[in-house]
Amino acid sequence: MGGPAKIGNDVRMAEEPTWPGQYIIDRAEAYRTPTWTMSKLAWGTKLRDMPSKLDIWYALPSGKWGSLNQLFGTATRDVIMDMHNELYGKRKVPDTCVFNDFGPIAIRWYKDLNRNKVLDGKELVSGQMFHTTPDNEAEAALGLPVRLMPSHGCIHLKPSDRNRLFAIGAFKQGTSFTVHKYYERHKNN
Amino acid sequence: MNVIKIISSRTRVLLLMGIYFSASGGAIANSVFISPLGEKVDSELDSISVSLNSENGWLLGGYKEEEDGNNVPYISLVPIDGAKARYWPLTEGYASQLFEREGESYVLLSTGKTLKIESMEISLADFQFKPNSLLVTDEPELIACTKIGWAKLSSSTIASCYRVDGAWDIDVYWTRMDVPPKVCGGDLKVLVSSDRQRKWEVLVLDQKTGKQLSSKKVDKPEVAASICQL
Repeated sequence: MGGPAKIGNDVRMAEEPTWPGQYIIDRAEAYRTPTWTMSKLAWGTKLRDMPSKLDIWYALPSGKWGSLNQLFGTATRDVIMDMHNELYGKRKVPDTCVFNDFGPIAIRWYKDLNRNKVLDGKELVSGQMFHTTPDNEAEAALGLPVRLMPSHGCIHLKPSDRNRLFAIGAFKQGTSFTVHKYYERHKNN
Repeated sequence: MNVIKIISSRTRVLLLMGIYFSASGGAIANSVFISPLGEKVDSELDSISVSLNSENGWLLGGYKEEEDGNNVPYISLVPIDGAKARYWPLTEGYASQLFEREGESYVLLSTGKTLKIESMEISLADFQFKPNSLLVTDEPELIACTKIGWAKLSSSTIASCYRVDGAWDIDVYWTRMDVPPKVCGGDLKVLVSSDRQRKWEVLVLDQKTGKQLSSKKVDKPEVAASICQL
């Protein structure tokens, strides 16, 4: 499921349509961005509950631990446990981060302006991407029906569809795909 | 005196940095925390998030951890006179702040409901906040601001500041959790942002009416900057 057909009103970042066009897959990555609080940490980052310090520690690439309170600039433990309760029905600090808004892996694409199937020149990786969401990952993990929600412009995938598309090679670098306009409909021949 | 400031920041940090856990092999672990006055307070809570030195004793908000790792939110009152502590499990939300008003002690829950502690008993109080509120000041009126959701798909996309008695309520795009709204020199100051957090502005609001008294454009504040200094 993509973004809304018209620009939305989320003051944090307005929802936008998934822009129609022909694109090329560039790469798949565990995406991080400071734009969204929960996406400062990559999915799967190791976490350690520190109740005596009212903090949560997260694993740094160096092997040391960082303070989530410091990263977010506020007390985090109550909120993180509450979010985990909403998603998985247990109020606890999970062993790994399951809150990144872009899920475990985001598939990035670009518009191939010079049609050479290589990201080069003035081409930029799009801010819109394929990804799952924490809600859908939790639903899938718990065996519940997965309900897709409209995005801010990205294309939300069900975890099972993400896996299937990976398995058939749809997200290999250089793969071409088309985002159709909202009013366009698939026709069976 | 800004009681909320003390509860939310100073006491919260000082008290809880002093928590340590006693050895326990049972399902219920006892913890002891050191108050700012240096006294040790025994508690069955496994972790304590908020605390208030009330007239009746130490009022605590925290959790008991179950064997499966689930943390059950609790309110606890540890009497001054050494009487047995009381524990009340919460069925919804968690204790986000504790405050006093007109001699009574209250618990603000993350759901927006408030609980009143009276004569060692707990009951639902009349004050109704919005969910995920931060109580900014409790005198002369209760003024709170809602916290915007941390998740991208959160339903809480608009933050607001309001007087709990309903006298005023305004939308303000308050996003920096490390720079919370505060009362400075008698007025409410709120840091807001626009244009995908590229522009920053400090709004000064009248506590009584919510009317915007002034606004000032500022550079992106440092982490944990004091709103009163901006």
